Amino acid sequence: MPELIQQGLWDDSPEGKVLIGSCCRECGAKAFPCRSVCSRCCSEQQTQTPMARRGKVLSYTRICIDVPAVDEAPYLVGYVLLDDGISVPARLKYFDVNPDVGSAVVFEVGVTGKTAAGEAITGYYFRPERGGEEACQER
Amino acid sequence: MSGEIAIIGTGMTKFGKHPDLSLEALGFEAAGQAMRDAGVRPADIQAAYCASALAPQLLGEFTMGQKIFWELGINKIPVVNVENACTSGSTGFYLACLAIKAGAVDMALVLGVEKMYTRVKKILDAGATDLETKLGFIVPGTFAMRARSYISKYGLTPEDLALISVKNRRHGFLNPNAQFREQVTVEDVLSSPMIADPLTRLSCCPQGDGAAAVVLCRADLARSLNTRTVNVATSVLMSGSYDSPPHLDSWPTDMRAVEKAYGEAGIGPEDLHVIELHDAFTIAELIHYEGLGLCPAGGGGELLKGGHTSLGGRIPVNPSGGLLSRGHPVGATGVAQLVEIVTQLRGEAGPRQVPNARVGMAHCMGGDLQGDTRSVTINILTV
Repeated sequence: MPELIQQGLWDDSPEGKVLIGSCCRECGAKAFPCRSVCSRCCSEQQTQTPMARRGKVLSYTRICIDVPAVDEAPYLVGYVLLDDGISVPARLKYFDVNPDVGSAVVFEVGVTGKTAAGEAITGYYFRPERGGEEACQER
Repeated sequence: MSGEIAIIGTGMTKFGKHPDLSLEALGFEAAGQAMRDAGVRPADIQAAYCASALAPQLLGEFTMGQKIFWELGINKIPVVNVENACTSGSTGFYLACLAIKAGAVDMALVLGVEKMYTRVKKILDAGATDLETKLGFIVPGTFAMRARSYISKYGLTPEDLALISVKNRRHGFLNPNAQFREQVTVEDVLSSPMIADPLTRLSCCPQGDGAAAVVLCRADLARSLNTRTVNVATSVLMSGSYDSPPHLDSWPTDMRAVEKAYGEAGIGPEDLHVIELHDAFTIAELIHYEGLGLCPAGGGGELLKGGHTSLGGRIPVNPSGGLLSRGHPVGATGVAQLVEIVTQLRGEAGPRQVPNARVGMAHCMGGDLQGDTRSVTINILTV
């Protein structure tokens, strides 16, 4: 089994894998990763909820220096504003040209790094909504 | 706090590479200088704070405060070692202010010290177990995303951002304690190697070795000790909230901290004469202009390009050269900013002196995570 970047970040859904966030039963605040206490109203009444699979690039950067835990410089990271209104940190992959702020993206699960021993780490990333799907499947 | 606490002594090593000086030696030099400047003896210090953000990681060291202060003859008192990311030093100062304000002690010593040029090579990240780190985020990358967001929202260019480095290097050229004393051009900044697009190497502060220290005491005692005292109008420490806001063009904690600071000091941004703020990356200085209320949202570029924040301008920012030029030995930075403001308010800053500076602010920010900063300190000093 490949190593997971972190337990409990995503789950299966009818549309494919989706990020799992928490939603406060008291005030409706959403958070990712899941929280056990609402940071807005302090309620412990939190349910786990699937997040939107689609979103827009809020901002991104191309990391141009070697980062041992990733081992594929240069690579893209960004914040994605999900369609349900919350922003999440993410890798961005399969962009032939740099995205724009506001580019539409879709969630995927896949390799995002390596352990110190060189084993693949399974994490998550967003790919372009248009044009990225085929590239993603080919690889 | 206004009128209750005064800074009576400062000390600082030159920031930069110090292969021959240990962490202890750097701390000893700065703290000793601050005590000599204040004219106090070890027995006068009733509490001491030693800030270092990275010594446990990079050097495997702990309780550095005791080790350094013992060498100075300071012992048998409360000693606190402080880690609060880039605000470690200014958090130590905040704690010392609280102790004096509470009446627990009359006089305290605050030391910030760091040694980053070590055999351990490490890229600064948000912490080993943070999701962002595991996804491949590094500190320059987080700021680069803010830069992209800000310049696309407000129509600035990478050239505009580079002017921050140009200004702060010009200031650092005048500061003998600065790590970088060579001036740079916009072209130099843009043509230096790309770290995280759009931030190049010269858009990022360097790592460094160095230490800075201050002695502070009850204001009524200060008046009998020393004629070069500087008053602490307010000292604020504020943590962030991590609500993943749908924007990246401000740090909400800046606004919360500065509102409290201005309220406590009874002043507004228009009353400031000089500012040291946390320019870890060029973009950070622009965003902090707005956070501190120096200009409206989106007005940072105009403030910068108009020369208003340069020495000689309306409100000089980072006359020391800032983190970009003075350097950023992480645990020392928050105290070094205070040392610069004290130097300015004493009128002892030489060629980088802001004329008639009587009200100054030191602003420091620690970490950037999920849309906000982990920590902000604001210290307003007056003479």
